[in-house]
Amino acid sequence: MSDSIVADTGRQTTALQQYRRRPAAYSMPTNSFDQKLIAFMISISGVAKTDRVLELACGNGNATLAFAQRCTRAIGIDVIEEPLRRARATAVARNITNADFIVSEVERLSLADGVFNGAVCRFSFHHFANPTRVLAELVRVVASGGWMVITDMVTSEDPIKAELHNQMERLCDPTHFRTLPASEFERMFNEHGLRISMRVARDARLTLDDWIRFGGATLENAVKLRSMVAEALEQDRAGLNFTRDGDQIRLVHKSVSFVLEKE
Amino acid sequence: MALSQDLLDILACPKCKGALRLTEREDGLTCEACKLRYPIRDDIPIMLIDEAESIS
Repeated sequence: MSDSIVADTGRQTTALQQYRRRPAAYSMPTNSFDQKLIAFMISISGVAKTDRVLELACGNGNATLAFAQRCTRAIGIDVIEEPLRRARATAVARNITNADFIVSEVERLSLADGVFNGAVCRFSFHHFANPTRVLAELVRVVASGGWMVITDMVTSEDPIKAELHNQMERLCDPTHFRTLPASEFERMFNEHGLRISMRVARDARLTLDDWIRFGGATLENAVKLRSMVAEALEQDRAGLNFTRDGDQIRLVHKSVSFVLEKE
Repeated sequence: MALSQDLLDILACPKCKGALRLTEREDGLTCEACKLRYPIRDDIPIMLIDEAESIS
């Protein structure tokens, strides 16, 4: 591992190691939520036909291929090769000739400075061991005056609730590193010379069973998670708005889409 | 299908961010400064320092 990749928390890890723990997590087929999110991100990005667009942590390349149909060239980057092979095959099958894919670490992008007009990243920052470093790389490769759309889940502004929420997320999904509060995203953007031009919040309501299923928790972790949720239920100790609904427990996952402009 | 010229124009070495040269067989990208060769597999550049080959 590179000695320069040090997590904010002091733990040494890389996105590559994180993802290799569970590559199947982001090899899932496109679902209707994914399709709606991609359409939404395209609409708020203001992408122009002449733009060159980067998708960071592109997985199967669904958003990269969708953007490719609305810009001059779209490039998807991910640290795992297998989903990119599928993305490439999909591009060939659909005769999309202006999409490319690169295997690269997100903290060390293999791209020249300022070569993109726009960049997108969806539901990935919570996987990054060093989100500040990833954002710095993203800012480096986007040209001045360029745009970014970053969508991710957010956690409570209360650090105690946020810590409990993140403990739960890590039990649910071993590739989870840390969900940030919206204010931390905003501070990072400000520190990197990014102006927030739009901020769209979304509440996703789901059941505890769905959360565990989607995260792919092990049986052991699912038992631990259910126990933690039972303890956190009454006073909203994790900021996830847990409620009982008959035999089910429901919760709310908050996410925010930021539209950013590089000064 | 070979790598597009547009992609070749914007790729950089992940280590030094310097320019890369396509190998004669078009199966890799060489960074002369770092003495590293990054493989290309099925038209996908594998730009990981751990997977790069050292060249003399």
